[in-house]
Amino acid sequence: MEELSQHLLDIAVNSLEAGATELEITIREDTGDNTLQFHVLDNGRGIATQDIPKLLDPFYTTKKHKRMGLGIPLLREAVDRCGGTLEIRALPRKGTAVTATFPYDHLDRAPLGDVAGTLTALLAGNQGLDLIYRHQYNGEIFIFTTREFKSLLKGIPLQTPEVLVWLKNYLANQVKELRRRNNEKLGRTG
Amino acid sequence: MNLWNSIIKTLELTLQTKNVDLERKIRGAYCGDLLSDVLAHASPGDLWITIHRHRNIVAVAALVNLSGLIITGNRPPDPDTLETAGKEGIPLFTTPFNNFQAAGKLYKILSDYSMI
Repeated sequence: MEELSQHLLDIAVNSLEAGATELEITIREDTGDNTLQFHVLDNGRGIATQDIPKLLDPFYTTKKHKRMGLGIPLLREAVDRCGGTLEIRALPRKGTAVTATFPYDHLDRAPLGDVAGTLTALLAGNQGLDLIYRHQYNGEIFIFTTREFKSLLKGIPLQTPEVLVWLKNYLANQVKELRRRNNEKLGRTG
Repeated sequence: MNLWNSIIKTLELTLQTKNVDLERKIRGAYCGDLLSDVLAHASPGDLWITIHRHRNIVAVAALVNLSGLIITGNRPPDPDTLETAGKEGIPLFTTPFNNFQAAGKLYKILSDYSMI
């Protein structure tokens, strides 16, 4: 996959197929620490701890109609290619947490890509989904929650095309703004 | 027909950068999508065939001093990729062919010109 946002979509779709209704997606960009990390947490059926190593095997899949799954193996490859780390954890009650960490400035680290478009597509296709999206760039943070957004919409469905178009631009601009604010701060103090 | 023209014609290239002259001399070619590998193994003057379209490819091209970039499968380059390629004076093309087809066609041309 060319962009990390495509991996993000793939993991989120896995979560939904495992019956998740809540998703927490956190992206952390820390240029000082030289890390880019994304973290996906869901409340799906989860996985038994002893089965986690099997996720890395492309011939392992829980779906009956598919003979193999490449989602996690491809993510693993994207991580390994640039010397990052991948952690998959079964949560104590139910759900799964996937954390991928990449060296920020590595040449083979795929670009983050269109996160706003990815999340909007995810919301467009899944009406009941509760999403919390956090995006951190160095010291600055942006948080979006569907719960809050739905209350602002006052009954207008989130899936309305105009709402989705607005949302996509809004998310993209907020992340752009994070970077701008951070750079401005650097300019003032430095 | 000069070398640039035969490559453009055979690989059905579209020049995406504006104000970049085709004055760099082609000395060979390289094909690959692992940027660190290209950085390590491509030679100055190579034309590089890749699927990538993000800005990092321009950094690699500038560091190795490549003669040009060819993005395959009709993928449109990112706007900031184009902008940087323009600034660095590196011609960036797109082709409808995939990596294999583009490399095969380019290999034949360079052989015909006795360059490989």
